[in-house]
Amino acid sequence: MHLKFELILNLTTLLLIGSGVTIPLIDQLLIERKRKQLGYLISMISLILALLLNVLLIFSKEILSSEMLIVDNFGTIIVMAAIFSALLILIASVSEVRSWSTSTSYYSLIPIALLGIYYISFADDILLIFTSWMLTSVASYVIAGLRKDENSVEGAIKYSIMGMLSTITMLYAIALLYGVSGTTNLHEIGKILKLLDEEKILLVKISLIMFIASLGFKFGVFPFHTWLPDVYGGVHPICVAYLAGVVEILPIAAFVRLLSIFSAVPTLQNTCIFSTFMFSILTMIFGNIVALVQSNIQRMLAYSTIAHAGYFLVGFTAFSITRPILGIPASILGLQGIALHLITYIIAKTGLFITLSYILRKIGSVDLISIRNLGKILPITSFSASILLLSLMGVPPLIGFWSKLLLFLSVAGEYPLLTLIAALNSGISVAYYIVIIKNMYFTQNSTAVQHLERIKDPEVIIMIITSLLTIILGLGIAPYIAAYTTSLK
Amino acid sequence: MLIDPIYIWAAPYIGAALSLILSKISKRVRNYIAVLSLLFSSIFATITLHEFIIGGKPIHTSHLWIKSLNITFGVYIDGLSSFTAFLVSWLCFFIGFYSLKYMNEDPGLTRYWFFFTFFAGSMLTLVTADNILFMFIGWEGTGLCSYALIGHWFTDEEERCVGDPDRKALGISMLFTPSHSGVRALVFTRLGDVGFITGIAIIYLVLKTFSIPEIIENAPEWIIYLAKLGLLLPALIIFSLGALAKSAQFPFHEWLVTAMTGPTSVSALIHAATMVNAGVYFMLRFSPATYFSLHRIHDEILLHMIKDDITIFFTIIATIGAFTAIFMASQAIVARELKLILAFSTASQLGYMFLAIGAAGLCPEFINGWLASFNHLMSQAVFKASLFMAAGAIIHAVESRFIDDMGGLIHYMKITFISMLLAAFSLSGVPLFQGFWSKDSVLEAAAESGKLWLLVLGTLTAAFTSFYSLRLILRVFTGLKSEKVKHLEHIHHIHEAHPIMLIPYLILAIVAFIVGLIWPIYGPEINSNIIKHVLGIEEHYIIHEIHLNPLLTAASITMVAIGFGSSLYIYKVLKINIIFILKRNSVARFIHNLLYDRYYINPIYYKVLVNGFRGISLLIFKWFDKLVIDSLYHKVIPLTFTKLFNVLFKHFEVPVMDEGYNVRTVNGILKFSAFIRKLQSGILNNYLITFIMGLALMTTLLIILMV
Repeated sequence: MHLKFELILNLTTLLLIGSGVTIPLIDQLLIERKRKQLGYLISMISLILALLLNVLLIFSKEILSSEMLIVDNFGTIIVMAAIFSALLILIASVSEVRSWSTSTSYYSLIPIALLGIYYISFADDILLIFTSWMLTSVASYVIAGLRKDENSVEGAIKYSIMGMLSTITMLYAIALLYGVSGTTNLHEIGKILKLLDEEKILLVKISLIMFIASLGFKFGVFPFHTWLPDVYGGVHPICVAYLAGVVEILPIAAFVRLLSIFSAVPTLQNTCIFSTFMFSILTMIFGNIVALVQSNIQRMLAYSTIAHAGYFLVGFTAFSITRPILGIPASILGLQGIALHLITYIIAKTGLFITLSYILRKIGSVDLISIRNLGKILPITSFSASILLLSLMGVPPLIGFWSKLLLFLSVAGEYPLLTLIAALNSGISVAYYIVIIKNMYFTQNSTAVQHLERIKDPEVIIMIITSLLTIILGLGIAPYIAAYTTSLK
Repeated sequence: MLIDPIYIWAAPYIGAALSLILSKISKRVRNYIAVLSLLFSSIFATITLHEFIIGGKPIHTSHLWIKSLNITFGVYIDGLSSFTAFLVSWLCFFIGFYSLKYMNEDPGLTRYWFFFTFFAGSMLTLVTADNILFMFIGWEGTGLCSYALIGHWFTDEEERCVGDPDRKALGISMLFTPSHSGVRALVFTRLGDVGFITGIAIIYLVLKTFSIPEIIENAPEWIIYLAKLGLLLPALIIFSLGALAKSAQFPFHEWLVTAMTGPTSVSALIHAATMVNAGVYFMLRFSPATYFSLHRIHDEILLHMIKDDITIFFTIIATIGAFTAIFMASQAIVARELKLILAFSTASQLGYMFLAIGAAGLCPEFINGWLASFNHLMSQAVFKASLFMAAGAIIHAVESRFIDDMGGLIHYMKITFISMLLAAFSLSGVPLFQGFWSKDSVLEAAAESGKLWLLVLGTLTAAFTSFYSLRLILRVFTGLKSEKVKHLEHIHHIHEAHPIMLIPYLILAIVAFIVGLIWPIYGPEINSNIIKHVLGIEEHYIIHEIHLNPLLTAASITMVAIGFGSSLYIYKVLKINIIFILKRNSVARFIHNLLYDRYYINPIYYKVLVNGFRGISLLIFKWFDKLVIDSLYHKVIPLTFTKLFNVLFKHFEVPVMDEGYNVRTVNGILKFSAFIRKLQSGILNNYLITFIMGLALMTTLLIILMV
């Protein structure tokens, strides 16, 4: 069995890094006319192959591990989701990115950034976490600035400078952790931490906070979110689709790995709960309240990302709770919730940012006023986007309902207050999501309506796929995915 | 049990909900449903009263509400609550019936009926509640409705205001608009409610229960607990603050005066007959427990200490009552607005009730003072409701709230004159009217208390009361017709009120008269039923006869005669022109202005409290970070309030105001988003600082909290 999983991993690495490196190479060699299409094709084929290869991992019956890696169901699920989402974005981006001078870089950076996410999902070693982190981070800074207009460059610069700060913070955290434990393997660290005395535990606590800051920076935890509205709200939506829909997995996967080690140490549990609890509440409230007053949809979705970071932290809080809910330990429930909500979130954000890109291409503006009558101008896209928004709201029976249910339920036994706040926030968020739907369908513009949608546009196809997935997964499959995530523990 | 007494208050609440829903279907149906729900409530209250008297034991039903805190919602029917519920529900019905015509064609009727019925439900909840938390919910509900109904005509036309348009006292305008008055009422009563809720918390801490029967049963326990801490007197006073504020006793009296900006039907119901009596009801409910717990404490030293504290407490209550009685009555003498005279009179009569309940604690026979207070509550409610409704009809006919614009109305409104005369006689305490008996027993309690000043103030107030009562009748109905009346005569004929309005106040006036006539016969029996099984009163009293102290009765009748006589002499014989005197005599002018401007209490409040706070906040504004204060005062608070009001009034507002709120909300959101934009500055340095500060703050928190 070991051979198989190492083979799969090696082949995937080869596919991703191979396509990532060869695309720019081909770009230099081939003549103008062919090269752009070719880069797109190579990238797409490698992603499809990688997806198919990794499907095999689903059938493994045990947790597979080697020195620096651990292949469990959680990792498999999110890796699949990441590759799938990257594929969708790649397909959808072709009509927009084709005209960019940097299109080749875009096609090559997608598999390269994906590689970091791939390894961080299976990482059992802080050095592996760090290298994967660096790989994807640097790739994502470039992706943010690919379009080279003023907003993109500004966003990319801010993103990279803030990213450096967070990387330094993470290095400090790793140094502290290594200093007290003397090893880089996470499971070894977990064993050593249980034996540490009061003084050294304090260092670990500080390292934990630094991890939260540096990882939280990437998925928008308040107050480390500052770059996020500028990048998610200013950069071209098709780039943001990748940042929000794929790169977001990076910090969450890393945090799952780290926190499941930390929260198993009795002396650290209170710290884990305290910090995730505090950050969760602050982040949820900040994101939702600020999103309420945005008039640009892209910025609104940027703040909604921050709000969702808060929801994820609710699930992370449950990691340190052992009391069972409905017969399942809260920590298991929290992990299931995070995995499921990650899928909800990826599907929805990918689809929505692709929609924005499409709107931008067809109409030219993405504020609330310009999307009036969108239900008639782009009927399929509007309908699919509405489903995704409803899923983000948590409307049953869409997948968002199940994931929010699991997340909020996981802390209900020990911290009903947190559940209440999260539910209230979820209620607040309805207000701004519904405004988008209202403007698309129920607010009339006096200008004549023109039907602009073409069924052949790749964006439309992707929107149909995402909304169908949202519905199908919601109609009964979601609980099975959740159960699968932790079935090997 | 024929019927669960919970329906007494449930019926109006259901009516409130239905009137909201049905307003979309038919306006007529909405009005009738609201009044019908009040009628049902009165029928239930009557049945319950009947069952209580027949059954002879308290009716207690309860349903579990919040399990973890052991809070139930239920109904406790003893003599006190059954009679009060009976009175309140029928008054609600009568005044609701009256408003069918009085509020005819008002654009805000849906709002009016909703709050009217909601008020009835809240008031009856307050009266019948078996736990103090539920009582408080009713208490707050009445306050909310009072606020909403005082400001019913929030468009603030001048004719809806209280006070003279151009008059200023100490530089502060004495004209009060409805919306302003509503806020005043809310603020003044909330001040007291803070005390009430503190009291609830204290009692819960000691007894771990909210149940009123248990609180009263275990009164010695919390009294001893507080006495040992030396906090008994402060706690009792704090607990009573809510009652004092609700019943507009000095120094909280100002709100009731300006509450007259509401529709007259509302003044009749809330600000004369029911809600303002809630404070008295509260005292009636809890004072027996305080007083009789003295008999149940056996520790000598402790008993001595507690007795001192309780005596001081009752003396304070009685003194506040007596002072308010004469203080407010004196202002009624010069008031120029018909409703304002009645408002002063209401506060003054409430003072009588507080005087009686306070004196009860000082008398050898507690029960006499207690009964006096309750009897006066009942008679005041009846005749004052009648007076207010009649005043509403008159104001409606003359189209002015000033009595200077009336005069000679006896030619047009004979029946109104008769009913108002009957009610005014009852108010003045003319022998054989209902008010006579109750006022006499109040004075008797004052005499028995052994505090001379209570008796003197009480008796003097009687003279003042009869003076302003007769002055009102004389100035409104007799004498020369005013310019306004003459003018109106030319336009259209001034005529008697519509029967729907006329009947309720005529009935109440006749009730006040007839009950007075039969009181010597049936009074003892009624009083025996009232004190039967009242919480905290354990002994079984049977009242055999209505007791009259000849000397006291003579004194009180003399006072009425003096009041009537001087009023007649001044307005019928001398026919004095007040303005002429005021121009000539500076002393008279000073006194008149002092009374007319309500002893300058209002300007003093505004100068000292409002301006004082303004000064302090200006100072803070100068020195503190402008951003923090600025955002709080100009962004966060207005936004919160506009939001709150928007939600509250969304369904009730007429389009004009709707637009105003919408504009305001939009502005609020725009300002808020500007504030947010300031946060998201786009400056990278700020981002870096935020990141580092967040990290540092969290680490510090971690180390400090040692988690």
